[in-house]
Amino acid sequence: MLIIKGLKAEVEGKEILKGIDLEVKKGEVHAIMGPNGSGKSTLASVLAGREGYEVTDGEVIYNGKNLLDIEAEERAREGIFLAFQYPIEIPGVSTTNFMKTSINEIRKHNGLEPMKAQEFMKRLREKAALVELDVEMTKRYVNVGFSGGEKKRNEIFQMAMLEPKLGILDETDSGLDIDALKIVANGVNKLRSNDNAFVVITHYQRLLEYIVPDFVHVLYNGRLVKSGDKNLALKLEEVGYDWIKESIGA
Amino acid sequence: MGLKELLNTSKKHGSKSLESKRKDALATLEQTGFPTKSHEEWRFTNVSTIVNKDFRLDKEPRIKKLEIEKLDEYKFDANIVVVYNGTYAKELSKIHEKNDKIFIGSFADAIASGHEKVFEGHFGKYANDKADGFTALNTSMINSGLLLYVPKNAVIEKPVVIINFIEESDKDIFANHRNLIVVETGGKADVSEVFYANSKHSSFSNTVTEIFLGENAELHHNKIQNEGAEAYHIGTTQVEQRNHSRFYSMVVSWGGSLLRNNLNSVINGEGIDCYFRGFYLVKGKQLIDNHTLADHAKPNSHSNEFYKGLLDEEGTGIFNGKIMVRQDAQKTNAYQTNTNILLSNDATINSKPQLEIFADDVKCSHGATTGQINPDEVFYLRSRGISESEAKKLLLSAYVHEIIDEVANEELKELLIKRLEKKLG
Repeated sequence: MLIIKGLKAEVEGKEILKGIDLEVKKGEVHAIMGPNGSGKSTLASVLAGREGYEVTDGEVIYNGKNLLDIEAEERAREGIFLAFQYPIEIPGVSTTNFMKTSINEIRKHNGLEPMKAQEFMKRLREKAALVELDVEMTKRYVNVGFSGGEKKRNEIFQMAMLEPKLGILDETDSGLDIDALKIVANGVNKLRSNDNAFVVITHYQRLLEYIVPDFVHVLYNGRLVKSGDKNLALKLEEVGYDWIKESIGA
Repeated sequence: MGLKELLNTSKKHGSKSLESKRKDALATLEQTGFPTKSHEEWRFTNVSTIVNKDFRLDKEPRIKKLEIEKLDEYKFDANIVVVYNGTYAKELSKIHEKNDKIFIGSFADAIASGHEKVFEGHFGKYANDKADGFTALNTSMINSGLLLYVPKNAVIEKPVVIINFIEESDKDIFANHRNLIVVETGGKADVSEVFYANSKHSSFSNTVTEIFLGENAELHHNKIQNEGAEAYHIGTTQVEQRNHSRFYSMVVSWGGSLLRNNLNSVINGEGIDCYFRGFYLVKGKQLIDNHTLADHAKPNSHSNEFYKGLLDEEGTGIFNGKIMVRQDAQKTNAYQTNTNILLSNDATINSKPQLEIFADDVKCSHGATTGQINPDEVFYLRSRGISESEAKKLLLSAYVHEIIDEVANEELKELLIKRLEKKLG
């Protein structure tokens, strides 16, 4: 589904990603862990097509297409979803209206008619229940006046609504208490299937107790320096990132 | 022929006091003349084009079919008052009001139907002919005029919508609009003034609306400016508010070549609420100038102002909002916000909030911001599959909705929202 080869990227002239190689197949969950400043969020932003990140080398192939040639909205329509680390507040636009517009743009891209109001409302209720989000919240302006936990839950709700093929979770666990973390993880687990894949970016192992990954990679100083299964995450939790620094001789 | 020469061509009225007021206004105008850019309040707005243009009155307006079709948009469940090229068009107006104590009609009809006392009691008492040449011009050129009278504890059941048309003509039309709205103690009304000018020639609307709100009276007042690209508009809305009255003003300006709105309320009592809300959209080389004054003369009242602007292409916006708190006006709460979004590098906004406070125990605040569409918001929407242009449209629409959603007349609100979508499309 996703193949990243030798990806290098700069932000404001500073090289942050220094050659990333990663392959994500359908049905897999990959966790990318790393200390602050290692390039985790940059990787997420580059994949989602955020402006201000310059790819200097390498390629990203998504379902056979060169992802880096495609605009952000086009990527979303092709099934990529980024759950933001810091969700944006949009005063004046309700979540319901936002999702309706979004779903219909994606459907248009796929040659489908706009979704019928009844079907939309059914999906809205189902997906809200999935992340234990009060349906009333979806009538409010997007993220305005939401607590940190509510904003993150709203991200997973949006992901559920759009049913992406590849979900990228950028530090979705940061700022969540344990109950909210369980709700968010539970939502993701229910969305997992053999047809989609997830890249879960996190600083801590805690989230991975609930979203059990197939692969764990350690991002350090712009490179994936170690890969393994879920036990790698446990080891990191136990001994910390210094162990990585020592083991790669940094 | 300039504006001053026009004066000799206007009609005479029956009312003696009106005739003497017109004469006085004419003398005032001769003394003061029209403002120039050296006047502080007119620094950014050059009216010399208006003053020097050859505007003519349409003395015998003939209404064409085309205009009547345009009225179709206003098939509101409302009292519709049509003013054509500056003259009240009774035959096109639809007044549904059943309460015969309520009056909606021309000054002459008001005087003829026994409302002379109301007229004499309020006309010319609030708008100041000395303020600028245009008010004096308006008084001296009064044409049909419109009186809207809501007596004590009466409620106009349906909103009133005054549609001012200026239409295709072979000359540059001058339309002089003068309205007097009197809502007595405990009365309630919802009044909109809508402006159209579709002439290929220039047109000039000179508008003065005087409003009196008695104790505990309530008025929603909307001014909607839809004029075409060749239209000039200078308007003053002057309000006098008494104890516990509530005034909700909405000014939406998205047409015209040069528009200037003066909105002043004298908050002359306690427990008063005064809301000024506005939205302006400038494009091309348009100039839209809003000057407002919340004049707190007595203690324990509240005023709240919120104006938003969108400035595109080479358009210019001016916002000058003044809060005056006089010495007696202790415990005043007065707030003001003006925000602007610049959509082009060549657009200009001059935003000037002014506080003049002579009382010591008050709560006042003001703020003005100018910025661009937030790129983080655009990216957030794009990351969900929404195109960049659609994302911007959605964000701008949301920005404007915060103001327009406050329009109480639901049918008018719907029409405005429809028009907004077109403007942003």
